[in-house]
This record gives sequence, structure tokens and C-alpha cells, in this order.
Amino acid sequence: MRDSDPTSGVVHPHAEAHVQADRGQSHPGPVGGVRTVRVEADVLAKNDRIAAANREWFARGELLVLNLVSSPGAGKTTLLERTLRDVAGAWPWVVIEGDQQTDNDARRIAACGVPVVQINTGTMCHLEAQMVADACRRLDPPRGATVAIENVGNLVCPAMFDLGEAARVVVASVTEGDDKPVKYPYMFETADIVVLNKCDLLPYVPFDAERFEANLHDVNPDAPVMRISAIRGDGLPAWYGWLADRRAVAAIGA
Amino acid sequence: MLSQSIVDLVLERARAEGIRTVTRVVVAVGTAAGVDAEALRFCWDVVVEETPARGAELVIAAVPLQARCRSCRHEFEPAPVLAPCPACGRAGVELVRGRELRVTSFDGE
Repeated sequence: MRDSDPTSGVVHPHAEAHVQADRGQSHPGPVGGVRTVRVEADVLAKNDRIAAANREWFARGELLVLNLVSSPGAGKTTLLERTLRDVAGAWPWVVIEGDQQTDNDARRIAACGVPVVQINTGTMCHLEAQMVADACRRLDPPRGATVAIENVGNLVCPAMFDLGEAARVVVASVTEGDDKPVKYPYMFETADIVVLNKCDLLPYVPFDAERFEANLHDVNPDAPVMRISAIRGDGLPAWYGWLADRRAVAAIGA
Repeated sequence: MLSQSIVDLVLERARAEGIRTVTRVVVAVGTAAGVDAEALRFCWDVVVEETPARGAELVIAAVPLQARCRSCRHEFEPAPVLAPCPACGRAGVELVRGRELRVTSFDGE
């Protein structure tokens, strides 16, 4: 069944309605029954719609939702563990852990006494908005909670997938190259804050923190940088101050 | 995973159009979309297998970057990374084009 008749050029009435409903146009192609259908549809539109719904739901619950992204091994889980031990007594937290395999990270978070859901993405290299929506339904965070989403360790694909978060936290570490921001500009460009971890190792590695910040500001002049050591505790008061400020913003719905 | 999203989108539209076999799919991929064309092609044959798009050709049209300076509003085509504005020299540019990942059209019968 075809909507248009290539021999007569006449579009059947029902087909016209059909075409309008689809907002697309079909026309007969040059060969036989083959025709071209114009689509012009964003492949990520579905994820973006779900992310927008997440964002509304988060706002209603006055939730501060953070999307933590980094290369594998930059220290996202260690930063979360330390943060939870230091501030989860002050206000409620829940955590969503994304990894391709294992619930190792969820066990580490659960040991901090905080509700956690582990998402195993299998072959996928990033979290999508629907996975976060499902995990939030299971966690049912209390009003005013902070929801920390630890994304799959990857600086490429997670940049494209909005989860509905209020802030994207990019964690980098001094055991990586100080040119990471210009190598992965699309991730660093979307950062609301950059946490530079493992700064206790600066005396032992060739990492130039000034050059890192200059590189970052070439792609993102607005993101603040916090130099920390999640293991030793350096710089963490500034990070906790940022969290408290953002939580206050989430509470007034600004 | 993106190739799966593309196929899902195309097959949904093909069903609505009464198309039984999809022979060609054209996608527009921005330089800054974070999509590797080779990876997309690599997955393509696998995800179309046993679907009405089996064997369909995947055409990838690259969309060049277009950036706008946040300070002086100058528009330019930046180098692969987000370079400072060539007009006023300041960092801080926003992409106005080059992030898209869009199914443009498909052929079928």
C-alpha cells in the first residue's frame, strides 16, 4: 500500500491527511516503487523529552540532581564516598550508580548508609534519561534531597545525553593529561563545575594545574575549578560550599 | 546504541508510511555531535539485520561547526576544538550548529 501514486502524481485524500499527521513528505523516487521520505527528526529528541520530564519532576521535589562524569578512574566514587561521609548527615542523599558491569560501586555507596540503585548498562557506554527516571522511581528521594548520578566513566557519549540534571560535574584528575579539556571539548564545554581530583599527587606527576585551567577556560570560561584530594580531604570545604549553594537554589526553584 | 535509535526512528516512520523495505537512510551528523562515523557504520549492519532495513545503505552527511562569540556575537567556523573568537580574541563561544544528530530522510518501497 502506497500513499501516493507515482504514475499519476495524485495523492489520495487519506494519504494527504496521513502526510500532514506525520509532518513529513513523501514523493516518488526515480526507480520503480522506491520513494524518499523526508524525516528531519532529531535522534536524541526522545531522550531530551524524557530528560525534560525528569527535570520537572526533580523541581517539584526540590531535588538537587548532579550528573557526575569523568574518564574511568578519575575518582568519582571516592569523591562521592567522602562527600557522603562528610555531609549526608546534614541533608538527605540518594545515589544512582552507572557501570557497564558489577555492583561494586553501589556496595561502596551503600556502606556509607545512603540509598543507592545500581544500573548496569551492559554494552552501553552512557546513562540515558529513562534509566534515571526508572531509578528515581525506585529510590523515591525525600523532598530536598540531593540525587548524585555517577555516570559511566567515559568523556564522549555521556556529553550527548541529558539526564535532566541541574548540574553536570566533570571530575578530572592530575594523573591524566592537563590537555584533557581540549581533547574532549564537548564534555568540558557542558560542565557546570570541574573538580580536579588527586591534587595530593601534584608533586609527583608532570601535570600542570595552571595549564589545565587555561585549557579548560578556552572551551568553558564559566565553569569554576576546584582542586581537591578526595582521599586526603584537601579543597573539600569549597566543594561542600558549592553543593550547599546549589541545593539552596534547587529549593527555591530558581 | 545511536544506530539502534536511528533504525527505530526510521522503522516507526516506515510503518506509518506503509513502507515494507528500507533501502537507504540519510543522517546529518554534526562535527561536535560526539558521534564517530566509523563506529556508526560498524554497528549499522548489525542493528539492521532481521529488520525491514536489512542491507540498507547508511549515508552520513557531516554538518560543519558554526560558533558564535558570547562577547561580540561574531559568528565563525571554529577549528576542531572550540577556539577563541577570531574577531575579539576572547574565549567563550557557543555552538550554533554542529551538535545535531538527525535523520534527514530514507528511501524505501
